[in-house]
Amino acid sequence: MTTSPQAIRTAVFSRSWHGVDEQEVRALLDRLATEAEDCQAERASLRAETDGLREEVERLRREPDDDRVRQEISARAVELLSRAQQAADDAVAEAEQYARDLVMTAREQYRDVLHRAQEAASQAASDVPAPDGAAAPGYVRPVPEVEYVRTYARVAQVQLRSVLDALTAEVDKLGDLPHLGGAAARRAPAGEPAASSTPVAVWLPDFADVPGQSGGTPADR
Amino acid sequence: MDVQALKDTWAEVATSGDEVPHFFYSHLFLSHPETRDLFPVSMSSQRDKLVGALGRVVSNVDQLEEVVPYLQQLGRDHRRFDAVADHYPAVGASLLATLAHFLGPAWTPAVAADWAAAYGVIATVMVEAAEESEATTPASWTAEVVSLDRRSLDVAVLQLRPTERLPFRPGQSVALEIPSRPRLWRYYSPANAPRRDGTLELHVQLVPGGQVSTSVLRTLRTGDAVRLGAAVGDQLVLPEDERPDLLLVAGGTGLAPMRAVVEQLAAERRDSGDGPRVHLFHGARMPWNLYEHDLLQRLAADQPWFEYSEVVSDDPSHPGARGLVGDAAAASGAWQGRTTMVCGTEAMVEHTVGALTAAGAPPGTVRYEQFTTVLSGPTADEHREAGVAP
Repeated sequence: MTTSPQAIRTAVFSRSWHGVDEQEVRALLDRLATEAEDCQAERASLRAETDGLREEVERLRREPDDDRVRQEISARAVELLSRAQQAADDAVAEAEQYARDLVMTAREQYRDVLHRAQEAASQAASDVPAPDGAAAPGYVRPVPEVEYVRTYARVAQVQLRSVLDALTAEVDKLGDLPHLGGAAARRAPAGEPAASSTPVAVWLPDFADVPGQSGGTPADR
Repeated sequence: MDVQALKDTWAEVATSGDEVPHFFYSHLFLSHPETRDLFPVSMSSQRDKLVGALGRVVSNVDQLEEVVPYLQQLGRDHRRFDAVADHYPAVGASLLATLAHFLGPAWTPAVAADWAAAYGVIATVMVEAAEESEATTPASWTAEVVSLDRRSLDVAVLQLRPTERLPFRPGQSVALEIPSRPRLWRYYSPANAPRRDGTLELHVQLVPGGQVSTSVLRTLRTGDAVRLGAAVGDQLVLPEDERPDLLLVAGGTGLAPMRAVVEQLAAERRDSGDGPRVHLFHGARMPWNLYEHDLLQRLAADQPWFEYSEVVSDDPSHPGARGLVGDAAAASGAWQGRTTMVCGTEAMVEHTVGALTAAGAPPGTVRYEQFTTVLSGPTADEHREAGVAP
């Protein structure tokens, strides 16, 4: 049983001979009472703080995720991962740019080759003297020259296609590099090509004889 | 919710530029490593999308009814990325951590509470829209490659058979994912009107350096399984109740949606004996990329209502019309009294619309798909590769 500050402050003593100075006793009691009050206040606030902390501990124990994770992921880790991702992105972008440049160059060369061949052919054609000076329209070009140009165009097309294929193979390798978790598992196996069954082209019923996926080889046009 | 505080703090965060999405995604992947598999290897196009979408939502958060359709579309579209309701709290936590990081002392408890509330609204709308569409639509369709016809160096025509019927209207687009490029979705337009057997025809043009188009042309094989998303887009779709005369202007494989529309009109004409007049312009860099030449020439010869014009831009020796298809279409005057639909690369569409407007075509009559505003996410960058923007 503790004595309250109030009890200390108002304590009453019985009188006796040779007693001490009452003023001094009162002063001491007052000081003691004030100290006791301070102690009580401090104890109450400490108890409240302890309760709060105990709740916090309980809460953190119950939800290990979210808040705690948020604090645990240090800015440094985030920074590191960001830099790694940026490096990966740059590598992919660079490869794309490289592939783009190669294809553009190949296209230009293809066009130039065709252009030169056509010029050479028409030059050769105009060099051939027409019999009796009167050329029949539509037959000015000697057949071998036309054939030469056509072959040239086909060879160029085949070469360009193989360049593109080689390029894609390189790009494929790039795409295959980073395997993250189940990325590999998700990839469907190439498998055997299923028996090819072309869908009936419903395209334009009025023109049922027009196969939807026809289309001449461009070089033939 | 203090709307102004949201806008102000977002504007403050946005000044950090690319660092913001970097931090967000790194934080997300560190706290929930399983989410990494939902994204492609290269995150560069992803970053712009996040910032763009968030910026759009936040700047309109006081007109929620305007943002809601966008969020619903976003939620439905995320189903094909395998995003599930469980992922939303993870994303929210990382978003708040990102904002806290970049706002520093400005990240007060009041601001934090506002952002948490705002994210709660966003996530709820998205999840509800996703769950609603779950009842009627699959998250994605699996389709078998029935055939792959390489028409030229640059163009391939794919025939796909979805295992479940994929509903679409002529002129719409679907997202495509091929097995060798997981998580890289590209939009292509079916080039056919819906068929009885449900098959789709896609036109794929090689984009130099493009990861997906290059892989489609080279590695995709008959029998491969690809994934498709739900059909989107409305600008190249004919209105339900109206059949105006049409001018169609296509660049490269931008021809695909136009062909689908022509096919629809041909079928309607067969059934009703009537229909609008159509003039189709097809432009390509080189003559061999006019890959439907034979079919369309024959159609034009047989059908008085259909006209077909070809334009080649990059081959000086081409005997036919040369130049940019937009200029040719504008000069033809065929836009007079017709609705015009344009599809091609971003540059082609921009030029064509400009040329038509300069020639005097009333702006309201020229339609084209702006994929940067289709909120489902594809960015302009992504569409460089898409069939709708070859």
